[in-house]
Amino acid sequence: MDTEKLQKKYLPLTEAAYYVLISLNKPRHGYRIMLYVKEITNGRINIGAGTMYGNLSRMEKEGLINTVAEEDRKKIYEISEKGKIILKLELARLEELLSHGKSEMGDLK
Amino acid sequence: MKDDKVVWRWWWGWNTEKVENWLEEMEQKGWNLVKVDFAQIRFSFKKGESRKMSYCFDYPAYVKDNYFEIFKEDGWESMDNKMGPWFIWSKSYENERPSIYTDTKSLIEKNNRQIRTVIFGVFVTLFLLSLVLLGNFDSTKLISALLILSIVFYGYIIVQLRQNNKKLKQNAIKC
Repeated sequence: MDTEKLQKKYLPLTEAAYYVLISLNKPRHGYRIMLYVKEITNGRINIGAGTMYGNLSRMEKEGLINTVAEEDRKKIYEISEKGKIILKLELARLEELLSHGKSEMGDLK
Repeated sequence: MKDDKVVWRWWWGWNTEKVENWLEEMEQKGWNLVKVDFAQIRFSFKKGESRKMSYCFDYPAYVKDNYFEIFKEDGWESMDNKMGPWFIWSKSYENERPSIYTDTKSLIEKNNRQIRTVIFGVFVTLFLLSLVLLGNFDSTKLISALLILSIVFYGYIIVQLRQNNKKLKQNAIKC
């Protein structure tokens, strides 16, 4: 799939989707991801169990993440190559947003 | 005073908030929910302590083992059998009411999953209708009338779900 199609289909990512993807740079299961995101955002982002399950099942179906193991009925996921491409596009988009914001509103205190 | 109470209560998939709020009020009054059955419209309560509980009705995609694991680990308890398609989750809390959905997109997708199921139902009903019309039984008229009525009912559900999605989208500046 070419870049433009991927951008159109997936971007912008929701905050939940974004944090799920970056958390899966290391293998983790659903609840671990919830805890991890809460920890790195100092409690600002709490992903609900339903939102988490919805994101994981959709991302797996679309090939953005893969199951790498199953332990005690928990699925452990990891980001796929396709997921990484999407994350790269999203990071570029976010960087553009940030640089525009800073250059236009640099005097904002 | 009686210690048990059984209440029949119909609810709609586009507005589960209403039945969730009702259950939470019952819990605050000390009516603890103990069982939900009969296609999830019969609610049995037992008189006990007043509890601060959050109730959430979920309509997930394909349910696998890890669905229950994620909820259980996050402290949710399942009220009903594990058949679905609706799952009722509850969790006690103190300050901020927890919810299983934490963004608008998840709520829109919950509605979309229901829409897909209902559209499938419409096709099944149309198929049955064509069989009945071709078959020409004694009660063809009555059965086709009932089938057409159920298609109207499905249509109503789809319209309501779509309207709810529209409302959700309008309220969302954030994604």
